[in-house]
Amino acid sequence: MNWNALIPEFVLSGGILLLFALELFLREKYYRFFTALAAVIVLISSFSVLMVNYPVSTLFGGFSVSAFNLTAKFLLGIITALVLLSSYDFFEKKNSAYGELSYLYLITLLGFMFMLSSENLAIVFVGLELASISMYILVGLFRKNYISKEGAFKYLVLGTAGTSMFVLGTAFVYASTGTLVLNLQKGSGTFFALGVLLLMSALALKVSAFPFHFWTPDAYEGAPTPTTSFLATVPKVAIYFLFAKLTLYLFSSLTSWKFLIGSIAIASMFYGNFLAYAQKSVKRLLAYSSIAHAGYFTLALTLADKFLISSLLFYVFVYALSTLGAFTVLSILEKKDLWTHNFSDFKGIAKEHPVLASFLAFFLFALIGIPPMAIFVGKLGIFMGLIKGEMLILSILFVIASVISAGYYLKVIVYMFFFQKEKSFGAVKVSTGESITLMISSTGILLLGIFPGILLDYLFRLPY
Amino acid sequence: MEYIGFLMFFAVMIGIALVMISLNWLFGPKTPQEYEDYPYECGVPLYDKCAQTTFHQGYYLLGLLLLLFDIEAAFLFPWTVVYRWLGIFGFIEMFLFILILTYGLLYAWKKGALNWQFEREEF
Repeated sequence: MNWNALIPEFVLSGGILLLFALELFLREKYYRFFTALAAVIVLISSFSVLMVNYPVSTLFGGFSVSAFNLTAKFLLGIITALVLLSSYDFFEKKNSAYGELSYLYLITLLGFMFMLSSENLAIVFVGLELASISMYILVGLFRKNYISKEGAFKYLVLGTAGTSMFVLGTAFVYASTGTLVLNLQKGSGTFFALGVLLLMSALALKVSAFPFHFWTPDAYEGAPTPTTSFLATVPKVAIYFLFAKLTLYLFSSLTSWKFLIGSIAIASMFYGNFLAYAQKSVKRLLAYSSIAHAGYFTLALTLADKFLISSLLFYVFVYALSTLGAFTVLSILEKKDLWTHNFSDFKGIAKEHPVLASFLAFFLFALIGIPPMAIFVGKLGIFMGLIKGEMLILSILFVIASVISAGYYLKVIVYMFFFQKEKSFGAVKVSTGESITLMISSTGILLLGIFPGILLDYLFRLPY
Repeated sequence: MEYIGFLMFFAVMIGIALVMISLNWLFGPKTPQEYEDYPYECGVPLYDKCAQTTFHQGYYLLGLLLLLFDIEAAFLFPWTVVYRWLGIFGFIEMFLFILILTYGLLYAWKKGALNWQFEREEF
C-alpha cells in the first residue's frame, strides 16, 4: 500500500474529523475560529500535493495520482481556502453561523479530490455524490430564510436526477466496453452512445449547461452568498477537470460527440446571455452568466485537443477567481440590512463605496474578457484552438455570444457609477478575510492576465 | 367432504370471537375516555389530528438514524466472516469505519436528534 499518494486526502480527512469533534463540544460560539482552522487545513492539504510522488496508483488500482489531478487538487484547495476566508463575517452578521459550515466545505472538497484521482467510474461516482450531497446541505444552511430551503430542494431534486443519469451512463459504458476503468478505449454501438449521452448529461447538469440549467438561478439566489461563490467556482473547476479527462478517454471516440457537445454549448451560450438581460437581481444575473460560461467551456470540449483543453482549464481557473471576487463583493454588500441585490439597490453605490464598486467593476470587466484581465487569455486560447481545429462556425458564434454578454455586465457597472443614489442602507465594514479574498483574486486575475505563462505553460506541459 | 373438519373449525373460531367481543360490549364499562379514539403513534402527540396524513419531521430523522446504524451492522457481518484473512489491515479499516459512524451518533446526540419531545420547528 502506497500511503504517500494519499497525503492530501489524509490531511483533509483528519482535519474534517478534528473540526467535527471540536464543533460538537465547543459549539457555534467559536465559529470564526473553526473557519480559520478549516482554511488552514485546506491550505496545508493543497500544499501537501508537493510531497506526493507521481504518477502512481494505489488502493488496488482504484486511486491514482498524476500531475493532472494534483494540479486540480492544488487549484481547488486555493479557491476553497479563499471562499472560507470570505465567508465567516457574512454568516456572523446574518446570524446564521452554523458550526457545520466550516467542515461541509471541506467535505465537498474531499469528494472532488477523490472524484478527480480515480480512473474508475464507480469511484468517480462516489466522490461526485459525496460532494453533491454536501453542497445540497450547504445551500440550505441559511437560518430563517425560506428561499434558501427552496433553492436547496430544487438543487437536490435536479442534482439527484443528474447523479442517477451518471450511474446509468456508467452502466451502459460498462455494458459496451466491459470495464469501468478509464483508458483510451474505442467504444461503439448503441450502448456506448447511450452511455456517453447520459454521462454527458449528468456532467452538463453539474456545470449548469443549457437544457439542464434549471436549478442554477434558484440555487444561486437562495444560497447564502459565500456559498454561492463556492457553488459557482469549486464544483465548476473540479467537474471541468473530470469532463476534460472523460472527453479525452471516453467521449471523443463517439463519432457524433462534436455535434452533441457543440449543440449544448451553443444553446447554453445564447440562452444564458439573453436571459441574463431579463434579470432584475444581480445575483441571478451572475447565475445566468455562469450558464453562458458553461457554454463557452463546453465549446472547448468539442475536440480532444491538448491545446484546447489546456486553455479550457486555464480559463476555468481564472473564471473561478473572478466569479469568486464578484460574489464576495455581493456578500459584503448583503451584510447591510434589507439589501436585496436588486438593480435599484445598486444605484449610485460608487459614491458610498468607491473601492467595493471598483472591485465589482473590475471583476465584471474581467468576466467580459477585457484584455489586461486573465479571462481574455482563456477566451483567446479557446478561440485559437477552435480555429486550429477548423470549427469556424463555433468560433464565430463564440465571439458573437461574448459580445452579447458585454451588455449586461456593463449594465451593472452603469447602475453603480452613473445613477444617483435612491435608498440608503447604512454603512458596512469589510472584514479581514473578505479583503484578503478580494486582494488575492484580483491580483491573481491581473497577474495571470499579464503573465499567463505562469499557469498556461505549466498546463500545456501536463501529460494527460 | 374431507374438509368438513376444517369448515367446522372455522365456524367455531368465528363463533368464539363473536361471543368474546359481544360479551365485552355487554359487560364492559361505558365511561367515555378522552383519548379513546386518538390514533396511537409511538405514544407521542400527533402532528396532524389523523395518523394517515402528515407526520412530524422527527420521524424522518429517526428513520434516517435507524438506516445509518442498520447499515453499519450490515457491514459488520461480512467483515467478521473474512476477518481471519484480512488481519490487522481489516481490523484498522473497521476501526476507522466504526469511528466515523460513532461520530455520526455523537453528532445526532449533541444536536438533539434523539430528543423525543419535539418543539415546533422553524425554517
